Amino acid sequence: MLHFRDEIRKSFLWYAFIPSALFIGLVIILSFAFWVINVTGFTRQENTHISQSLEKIILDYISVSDSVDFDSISELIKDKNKLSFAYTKLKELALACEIPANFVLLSSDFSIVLQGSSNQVIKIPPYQRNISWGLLGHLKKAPEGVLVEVSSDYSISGLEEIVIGRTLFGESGLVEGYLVFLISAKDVLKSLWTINTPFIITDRFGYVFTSTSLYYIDQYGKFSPNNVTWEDEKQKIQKIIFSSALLDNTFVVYSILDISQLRTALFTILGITSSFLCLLVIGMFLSASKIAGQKAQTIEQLVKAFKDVESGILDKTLTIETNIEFKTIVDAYNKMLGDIQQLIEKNKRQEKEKFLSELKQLEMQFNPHFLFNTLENIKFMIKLDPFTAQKTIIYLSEILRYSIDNKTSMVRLEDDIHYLESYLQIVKVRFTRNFTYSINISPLAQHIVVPKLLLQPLIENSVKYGFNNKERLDIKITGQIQHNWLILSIVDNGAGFEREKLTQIQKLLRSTHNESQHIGIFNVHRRIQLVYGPSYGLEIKSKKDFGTRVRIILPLQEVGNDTNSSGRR
Amino acid sequence: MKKLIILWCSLLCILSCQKKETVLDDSLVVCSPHPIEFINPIIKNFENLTGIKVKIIQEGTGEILQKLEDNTERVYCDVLWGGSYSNILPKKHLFLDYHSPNESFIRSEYKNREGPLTRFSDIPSVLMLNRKILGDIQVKGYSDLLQGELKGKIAFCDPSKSSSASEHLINMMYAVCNASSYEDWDYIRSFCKNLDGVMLSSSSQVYKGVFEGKYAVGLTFEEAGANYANQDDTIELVYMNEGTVFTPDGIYITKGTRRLFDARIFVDYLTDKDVQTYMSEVLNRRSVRDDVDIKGKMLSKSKMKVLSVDYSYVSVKKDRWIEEFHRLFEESKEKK
Repeated sequence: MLHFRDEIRKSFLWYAFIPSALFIGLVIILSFAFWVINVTGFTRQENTHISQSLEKIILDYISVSDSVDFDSISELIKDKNKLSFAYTKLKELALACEIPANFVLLSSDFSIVLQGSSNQVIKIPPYQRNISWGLLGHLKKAPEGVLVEVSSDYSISGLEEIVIGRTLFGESGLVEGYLVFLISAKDVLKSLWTINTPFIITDRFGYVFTSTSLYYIDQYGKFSPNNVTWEDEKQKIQKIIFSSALLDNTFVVYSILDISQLRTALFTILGITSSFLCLLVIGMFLSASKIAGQKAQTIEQLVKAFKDVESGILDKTLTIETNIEFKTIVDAYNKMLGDIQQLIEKNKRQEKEKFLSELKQLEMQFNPHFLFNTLENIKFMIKLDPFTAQKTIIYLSEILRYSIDNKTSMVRLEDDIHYLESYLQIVKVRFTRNFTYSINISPLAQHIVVPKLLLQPLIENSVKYGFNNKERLDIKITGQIQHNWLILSIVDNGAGFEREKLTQIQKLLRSTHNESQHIGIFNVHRRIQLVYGPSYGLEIKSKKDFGTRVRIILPLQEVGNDTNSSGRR
Repeated sequence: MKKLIILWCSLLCILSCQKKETVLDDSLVVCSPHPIEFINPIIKNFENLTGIKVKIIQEGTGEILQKLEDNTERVYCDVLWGGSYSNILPKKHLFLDYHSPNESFIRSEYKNREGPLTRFSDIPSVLMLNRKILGDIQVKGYSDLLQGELKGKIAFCDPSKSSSASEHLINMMYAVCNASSYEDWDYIRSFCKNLDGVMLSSSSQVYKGVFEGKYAVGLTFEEAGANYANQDDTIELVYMNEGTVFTPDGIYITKGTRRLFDARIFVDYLTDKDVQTYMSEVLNRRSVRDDVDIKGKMLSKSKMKVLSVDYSYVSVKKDRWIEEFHRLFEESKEKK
């Protein structure tokens, strides 16, 4: 079970922190995605630009070589004018192209007829005169069409060049010479100076024509994006390579986008953001618990109030200065508490009334038999012994007055014994010498307060059962204080109870309802327990033919004590 | 939403960037122990001429053969270009029979009689002399190497590490040690003594060492010596007067190649007159064709004593010879 405080904190995290963290993450990732798409798009664009411009350059020279029409080489050699005309024409054509390429016109034995620059333009390796090797060798083997190769064979500087060559045929169809254009890598790089991304231009076999960095060229002079010849795998995965082919795969342009910086930037930003978010989480945790604590205070007060009610404290009203919602709760709580208290009071009153009425009822069970017997006796004695009859009537009236006096239900033992003696006198009148009694109450016990007419029903019982098959009956009544108790005992030497009967009576004393004939004993016991609680009461011992002893154990209460308050328990 | 997903995916792609393009390589894979300077012009010309793309794997002959033997399932290379006859002969089961149309121009002793072993070039063992160091000392053959003045000035490589050195050892066995009948180790013993404890670990240390003047004489192969001799007049090539062993190397199509057609074109190309001439003229390597002449400081075969070698015998004996050489070399060091 979560506390309200924790719940508030949790909802802080769920509804405030996580969405904002997600939002920030999304923003970062999306902006990087846009950035990456932008950069890759840009690189791809550049790549396309390179291949398009290179294609244009080469196509220009292919079309130039195709279109140029010379008189036969032999005539050019002979006629200086024709030679200079051819030179001018070629120069014009070359200048019209984007990059002015060097050109050279060779005779069939590879001697130079004319060249585009006053400096040496071409170096023809001597072995190529004997064997078919390089572009010229390939032209020899396949004289038709224009050949485009990347080669360093003819370069003065020894660097790679794009060599575009075409065989020139004489009128007879014999090979008369060759026209060769040489495009240097330097010129191509110059024309691509606007390009930012590193790039590599290779021929169809992967031989690098030019590259912005030597780093990517392997020992064979090749570049291949699939071959990890360059440094290591780690280097490679930090690069994206874009490629585009041109002129039917004769050339391939690779652009190399280094994303290592991009990655580093992404990771840095992610790192910073996440550490910031971490701090935020910590801050939120702290502030959330503080805020939750404040907000939960009212709730906790309410909870405490309810707990008080649970443990029985009902007289505490809540005073909380808070908003309307809680005020409603608090007011309702206070009102409820008042209602409950009233109800409890009412309940208690009813209970007390019920208790009192039961008590009264028990007190009132003054045996009518006794009255009948006594009156019957008086009826005879009025004639035989009018004095005794008169005395008996006085005793009886005293007892009756005492018993019907509803003002007090608790009396000092002394007083009760006084009235008990009146009763005993009446009994004595009835049984004359066959009945004897003695009363021995210790002086301290005299002042103890006891329920009214406590002993009378027990005496009545003794008399009632004691004379069974017995001629004489003696009753000893004693009262003394032992420890904190008042012990009253009534011992008779009457008939006593049989064991079964005694067990039945003792069982009766442990119950709260009387369904038997033994009204006297039960009523006394019940009254004591109603007034003083279950730890007090009456115990009975009896032996057949030997008599019965009843002991009453009561708490010590003197005059002036509120008897009702203890009786309530 | 779709756009977001696409963006997200593209970012993931870029972040992971494991773009493993499994494009089937359309190249002809050529394994070769030749040096790059030798390989590059020939391959480049081949590619431009035929339009066939070539992927070179440059490794020692021993390694290539080992990988070929291990990798019988997956084709490691289409063509083995190089590897001396004596090395390849015992492993000829790894290669396919092929007879090039140029075979008729190949010198009679280098005709492909075995089936898969098309010869490519002819490599004699030579002595490379640096006159500046050597002075007037006469060196005409192996016996001259025993001169006291040359002690410690002879560059020789460990024959177990270099094929040029092992070829020289074979040459010595045939020229001065009576290899075919009883083996006479006296020469080798004296030679080892004169090496004075110096044995190099790679063949390039031999010719570079002689050229740079660290050694007066080097036992090397013709091409290496000729490259320097053509540049520098103080470097001389000497073909041993006791007799010179010529060992051809070749071009071999591997069994299981998937590019048999291109591989055959490659073999034809390498035995073609143009390439053989280029090799002889530019790369100082003797051609195996009878219509291509030698150039520069290389000596014609007719002007020297050429020893013929029984390679089946050599391939049996070679390892033991090298072992014995090592033993004698160690012995000479101990005696010192």
